[in-house]
Amino acid sequence: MVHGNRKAAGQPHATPRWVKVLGISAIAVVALAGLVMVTGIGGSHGPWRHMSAAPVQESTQQ
Amino acid sequence: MRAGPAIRRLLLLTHISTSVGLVGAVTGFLVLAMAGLSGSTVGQTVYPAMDLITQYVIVPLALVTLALGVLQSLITPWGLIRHYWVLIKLVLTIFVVVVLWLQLGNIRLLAGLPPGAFLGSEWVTTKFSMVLHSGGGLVVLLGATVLSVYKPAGLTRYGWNRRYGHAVASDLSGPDREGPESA
Repeated sequence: MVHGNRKAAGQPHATPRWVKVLGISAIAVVALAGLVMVTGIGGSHGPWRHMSAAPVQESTQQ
Repeated sequence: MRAGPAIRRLLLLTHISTSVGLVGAVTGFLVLAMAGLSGSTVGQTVYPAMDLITQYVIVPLALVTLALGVLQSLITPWGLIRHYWVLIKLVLTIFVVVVLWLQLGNIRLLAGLPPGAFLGSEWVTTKFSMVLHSGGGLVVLLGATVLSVYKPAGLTRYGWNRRYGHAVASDLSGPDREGPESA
């Protein structure tokens, strides 16, 4: 598969549409995950939970 | 730095094997994580198995896949940050490795729980987290595989400047203006 062509040499750089779509989708997913964590819908979940010495809050006691 | 065709092909073979193997291993992990949600004593078997798969299959494959991907891009004309598909694959793989790293503590924790601990409801969030993260990881890895196969066109600004920048300045064009034919 050949990428680019000589015609592109005379044109300014442009971000491909598929990259823009992917970027917008990634932002939407991150925003949705942030919303879920901030509103507490997803429970006590989030990356910060892994940062402490104790990985989770739950107790091991029965 | 450029490598010969034999080395490039060997690296490509290894990279495909490890990355596709990683997809398979994560799929197995996901199935076990879903089985662990049942809340029955199956957790005593499932979570130690998930811990073993993670330690001896998923983590090594993820690290080797990342390392080989970087190495391969550096010794072929594709480069690491010249093409969007290579750059995005790199970001996705790093993201998977970081999330995996953050999950290791919880996997180990579930694997070390005493018998009967899985019957309670206090571990539901952690167990569901296993399904969520492995499912998300699988989607991301499949996305990276799609990028590898289709190699959608698109040069980054750096790649564009490297290929066309001096050509525009001096109005020159040469044989290296075309994109890589292989990799």
